[in-house]
Order: sequence, then structure tokens, then C-alpha cells
Amino acid sequence: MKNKLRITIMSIIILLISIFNMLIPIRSFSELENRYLEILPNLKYEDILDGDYSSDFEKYTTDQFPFRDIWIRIKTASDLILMKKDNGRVYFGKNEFLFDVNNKVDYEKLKNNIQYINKFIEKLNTEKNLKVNLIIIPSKESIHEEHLPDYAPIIDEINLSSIIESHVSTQGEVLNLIPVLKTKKDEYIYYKTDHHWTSLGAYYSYLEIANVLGFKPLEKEAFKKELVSKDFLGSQYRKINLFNGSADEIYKYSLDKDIINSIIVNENVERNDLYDYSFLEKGDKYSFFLGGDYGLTEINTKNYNGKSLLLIKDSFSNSLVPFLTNHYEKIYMVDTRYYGGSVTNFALDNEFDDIVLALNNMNIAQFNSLGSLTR
Amino acid sequence: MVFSSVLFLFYFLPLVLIIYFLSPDRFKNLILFLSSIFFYAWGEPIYVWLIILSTILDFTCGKEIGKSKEKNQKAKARFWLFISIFANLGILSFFKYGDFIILNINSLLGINIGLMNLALPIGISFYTFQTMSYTIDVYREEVEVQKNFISFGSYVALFPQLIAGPIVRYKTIEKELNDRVVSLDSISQGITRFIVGLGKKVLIANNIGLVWDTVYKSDIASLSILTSWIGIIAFALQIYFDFSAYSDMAIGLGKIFGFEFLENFNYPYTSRSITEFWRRWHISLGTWFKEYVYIPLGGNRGGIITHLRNILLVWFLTGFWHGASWNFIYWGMFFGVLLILEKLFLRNIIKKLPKVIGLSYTLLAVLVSWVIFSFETTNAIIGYLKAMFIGNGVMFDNLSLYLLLTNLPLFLIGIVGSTPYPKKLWLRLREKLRIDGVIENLYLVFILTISIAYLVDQSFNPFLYFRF
Repeated sequence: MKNKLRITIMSIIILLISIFNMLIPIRSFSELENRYLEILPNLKYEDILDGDYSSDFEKYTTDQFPFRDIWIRIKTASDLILMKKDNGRVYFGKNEFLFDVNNKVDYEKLKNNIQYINKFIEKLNTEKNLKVNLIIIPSKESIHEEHLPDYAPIIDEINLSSIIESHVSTQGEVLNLIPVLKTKKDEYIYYKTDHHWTSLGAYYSYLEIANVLGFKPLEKEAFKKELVSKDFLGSQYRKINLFNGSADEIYKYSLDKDIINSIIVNENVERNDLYDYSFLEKGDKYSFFLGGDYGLTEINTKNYNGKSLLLIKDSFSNSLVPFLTNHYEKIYMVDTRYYGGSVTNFALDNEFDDIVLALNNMNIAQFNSLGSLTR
Repeated sequence: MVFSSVLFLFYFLPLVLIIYFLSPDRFKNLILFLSSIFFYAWGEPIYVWLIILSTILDFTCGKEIGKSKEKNQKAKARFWLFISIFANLGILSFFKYGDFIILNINSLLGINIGLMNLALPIGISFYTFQTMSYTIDVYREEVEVQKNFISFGSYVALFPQLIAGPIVRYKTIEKELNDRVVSLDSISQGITRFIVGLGKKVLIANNIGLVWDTVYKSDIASLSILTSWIGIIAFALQIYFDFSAYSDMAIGLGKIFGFEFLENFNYPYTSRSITEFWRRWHISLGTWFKEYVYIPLGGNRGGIITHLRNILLVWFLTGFWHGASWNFIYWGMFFGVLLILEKLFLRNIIKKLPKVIGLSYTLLAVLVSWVIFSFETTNAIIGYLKAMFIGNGVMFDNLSLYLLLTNLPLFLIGIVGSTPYPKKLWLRLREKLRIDGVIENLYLVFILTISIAYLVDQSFNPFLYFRF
């Protein structure tokens, strides 16, 4: 009797899941993981022979597993119960902070990237007498290190940024944001569950950048601060899918008047708002800022001062640009990951008053796309 | 295909079990054979022909040895035995040791023959040893010739033990091949064993293995003492839980189908001597080498020199079986030397000392052996041992403290789980409480559920920036 019960229970569990597997509809995209899921692979003889079919089919079985996101949650719960301080992808920090588990710095790639940056700086200086400003944006780990789990190994960005600073060409200007953001670390300047800085963090950086570029920044009080989302669970949350802290808040800092004339994305899509409210309903809420990352974005403002800015960026700039639009008539944003052309040519072909390269510390070391700076 | 996968648990296994139990007895071996070949071909679509050929060859050899024995043609019987051994060791040497042999000839003679770069066919170290056990035992007249090719094929390819053992000698399941009895008891025990094994692999082995991965990838010369110890202990736990889990799952599956495989692990980390360790670790391998190499060579007879030679030879081969690289040979010889020392005088000394001394000595020797096992180059081995015993100048650093803190519960579970105490405690509680079935079922469901969660999580692959 005891045996029958055990056999029955286990068989039912396995059979139920197997049947579920076959009955549930195939999902082609996972919002949580932000990627396409493997669907049933086609049966081809060559694929069978070289093992592709069997590995694709195995990927299909796990990608299409019923209630996949819930199982991830169970695993995270298990990690937490075992008092693990990381789940392989994310550190469970103190005070509800999450941090990325970072890989090592590839110093070869860093060296190459700095070389690309320097070539760009020197070209712009020689041909247009323009000083390129490199802005090093710190990662959350280096500002909020007191929230990391004890002894957690992370990349020393103070060291990394000083390496970068010392190798950047003197024809350019470097602004390392670590010191100023460190003084603000007790304020809400980085999201707990996302790797980006908050709008407040971007604001404080904007103050420093204004200093370097030589214009007077607007006071914080000049802006209307609006809470646009109080349940933001960001990139780091998506790597664990289980969080018992409170969600992040996204604030929008805007002026009373509407200063945007037009926004043209990739030379063919027109928008009229810096912010894309549709993303607030989805998982990837940070894309509220500018709708995400695009190769080329042209912003025309109502500040008819004739000044124009070229901003070569990563996703951190998306929440920084709203502050900069108050000081330029035209801003071009280039994301090297998606821009197909040569940034040097673009910079030389157009008239710019200021050129800024605003990149996160780790991205300077990790990006594979900085070659397009000098193509 | 691996047992610890969604594919096996929810696609292959349910299908095979349903077909198997619904079909009449006379088709059961055919189903086992076909599903096992499919299981093998799934992971090895090209070299599946090799295992089929090996099966045909040894089936034929077995029949011929039997026929020769009947007609009292001793030389002919021996001839067919040699064909089997030669062919099996031949394909094993070729695929597994071919490049090793070429590399060594190259360095010895200063020439430069090109490497073959062949992929190693899955399970070849296991199935060649299994089929040899058949032909040798037929020759020794310890088993009957298997006249049914399908039955023989299902022995060779039996998917429960095909990929990672245990090495099942033909004589162990000879009777069950032809005539199996499956009871609710055996199926229930099989399910239990399988789920426990699944948990050991997915929850303990895979996770403690991540600690070793981190340490292994670090620069050896900069390891702190604590990190090096944490690393090798993690590896010791990983390899035990991984390997014994595989045996658990194999034995469990075997029971469901009606086969009783022999135990392969018996709490090896509780051993108080290396002699005892090798009676508790990978038992089927030790047994195979004893039966088919050590004893035929004379074992412990023929004087002390012959005895020592036999031991060293067996351990050379045992090490070499584990991999085509010199460090595996050193690993085997390391144990060979310790075993000789124990036989000569060490064991007697240990027996008179407190138990904890024997235990500490054994664990220390085993941990050192795992360092030899893990690194291919002598430099790395010496470097790691130096990090452990002399240090690189630092006792502990952030990395070691972090690894220890974040994995402490896991280490404790692993260490305690390597002892028979949890089971003993449970058995004693069971007697007193008498509600064992419910709690055990809950425990199994719990292990299964968490294991599934970990399996699904392994495939989790989030992208930060998506591009439509």
C-alpha cells in the first residue's frame, strides 16, 4: 500500500508535467529574459548528424517548460534559504540592493577601446579644433559598495577609471563621475534592482557635466519632479525573478514648458516626446527614457541658442539627456552598438559645439562596438 | 542525454516506461535495447555504430567461445577470447588514448606525427569493460552464453548505466536479463533511489561545483591558503556527489526495470585508510580490475616483488582508465604507493591510533589526490599543492571569505551528506514515529520540485538589451 502510494504520487507528478509540456502553447518570446525562446527545431538529417538537432531540441524542452518563470522564482527562493549571497548572476546585497556579478576585465579589449577613443579625440581636435569630453560613469557597485555582501569580489572601478584616465589622450578632457556621485551615495541615485542610475543620479552628473562644458545648469527646484512608476523592477531583478524588497521608483524631471520640437530616430521615425510611456506598462521600464537605445537620435529643442551637442552614449545617457535638452538647440545621440556608420565622419560632416562620450566604466572595458568611433 | 535534464525526465523516461510496462514480457528486452540505442544515439549520432559493432562482435565471440568450450577446443576458445579483448581494448585505445600515444611518441622520438583529434565516444570506457567482463566470464565458465542477440544488446547498451556506470558485470544481471521480476517494492525503491540521486546531482554537486569553477579559473600563484582548501574541498564534494548520484540514478532506474545493480559507492569519505577508501569508492571499477587484472596476474601470491608489481600495474591502469593524460597515471600511482605502504606497515600503525587520525590521514591523502586528478600539467599540480601547504603569502583574502560565507550551508550539507549519519538518524526516528511513508513521500516530492527548479534555472539566459 505504501509502495503503491509513492509510485502513484511520483508517476502522477512526472506525467502531469510531461502532459503539460505537450499541451501548453509554445511561447516565442520571454519578457522576463528579454529574448526569443527556442521553438521546436526542424528535423533535418545534417542537423541530427552534427548534434545540432539534439542540442536545439534540449534547449526547446527547457525554454518551453511550463511555468518557466515560476520555477526560476523557486530556485531563487532556494538560494535565499541557503543563505547564498549570489545566484551566479546577481548579488543579494544589503538594504534590498542587487548588484551584477561581474566578470573579469579584459585588459586587451580595454586597451583597444581606449585606442579607438584616443584616435577619435585626436581626429576631432586636429580637424575641427574641438575638445572631446570623455565622461566615465560609475557602476552602482563602486558607489554603493557598503551595500554589497561582505567580501563580495567586484571589479575595482576606482582602479579601472584611473587606468582609463591616465591613458586617455591629453587632447581630450576626462570627467570621472565617481568622486561626485560618491558624495551623494546616501541619496537615491541608483536603482536598487537595476544597474542604471536614477534621474536624481543623472541630475547630479548633469551638474558636473555643465561645469566641464561651460554652461550654467538649472537648479533642482526649477524642475517639476513627477513619480511615473512605483513598481519598477529592473535588469537585476529580471535575473532572479524573486524579490522581497520594495520596488524602485522612476521619477521624471521636467520643466513646465514643453521644450521639445521634434525627435527623429534613425533618420526616419518621428516622435515628439523624450519619454515613451508605453514602456511603463511593460517589464523593461527603464526604456521609458527615450524608448530605449537607437543608433542615431536627433533631438531638436525650442532653445534657439544655435548650440549643438554630439553625445556618444550607452543607456545611462537616456536618463541624462532630458537635462541636457535645456541647453542645446540640437542634440545628436549616437549609440555605437547600433550605429552602422563612422562616428568620426558624422562628427566631421556636421557642426557641433560640444562632443561628449558618456560611457559607463565597465562599458569602456567591455563594449565591442567602439571601433565604429574611428571607422 | 543526461538523466538530470528536462528532456530525460519528462520526455524520454515517461515514454519508455509506459511502452515498457504496457508491452508483453517477450518484447521487454527489445524495448530496452531500442530505447537504449536511441538514448545513446541522441548524444552520439555518429559513434552509435561503434557500440552496435562492439555488441555484435562480443556476442559472436561469446557464442564461439561457448561452442569451442563444448567441443573441448581450448586453443580455439582462447583465440576467440583474445579477439574480444583485443578488439575492445583496441577501440578503447584508439579513440581514447590515440592522441596521448602519438604525443608521447612525438616527444620521445622528436618527430611530429599529426594528432587525430577524435571526439571520445560517450561511455566507451564503460561498455568496453562491460562486454569484456562477459566474454572473460564465458571463458571462465562462470556464465552461460547469451544466445539471444537482443538480450545481449540490452545488457551492453542498457541506458541506466551506459554513460556513467556502475560497471555492471554480466554475471550480476545474467539471470535478470532472461527472467525479471518486477514488484511494487522494487519500483518504489527505484523511484526513491532515482530521486535522491537527482537531488544529489542537481542540488549539491552542481552548486558546490561552482565554487571549484571559480577557484580553478583563478591564477594559482595568487591563491590564498584558505581559497585553495575551500576549492579542493568543493571539488571533493562535487565529484563524490556527482558520481555517486549518477550511480544512484542508474541503480534506481535499474530497479524499476527489474535489475539489481551492485552498489558503487559506500560513504567513501568516512574511510580510515586508503585501502578502505578504495573499497568504498567506485567499487565496480575496483572489482573489475581485481577480477580481470590483479587476480589473473597472481594477486598477492608469487612473492613480495610480484605482489608489489601487481599492485603498481593495477593502479597504473586504474589511473590511466580515468583519462588519457599523465596526471591520471600519477593519480593512480599515488594510490598504488600508499596502498603498498599501508599493506607493508602503515595500516597496522593506523589501527592502533585513534580513529580520527586514520580519518584525517585518509581525507588529506584523498584531497591531495584530487589536486593531481584536476590539473593536467605538473606545474599546476605543484603550484596548487604549494598554495595549500606553503601558501603564496596570504592566509585568506576576500575571495576565500566570500566563497566560504556564501556557501557555508551548502558545504555543511555536503559534508554531513557524505556520512551515513543522516540516514541512521532518520531510520531511528522512523522507528519511533511510525509515520515514515508520508514524510518520506513529502521529502521526495520536495527534492524533485527543487531539482526541477534548478534544472530550469540552468537554462535561464536573460538579455539586457533587446533588439527587434
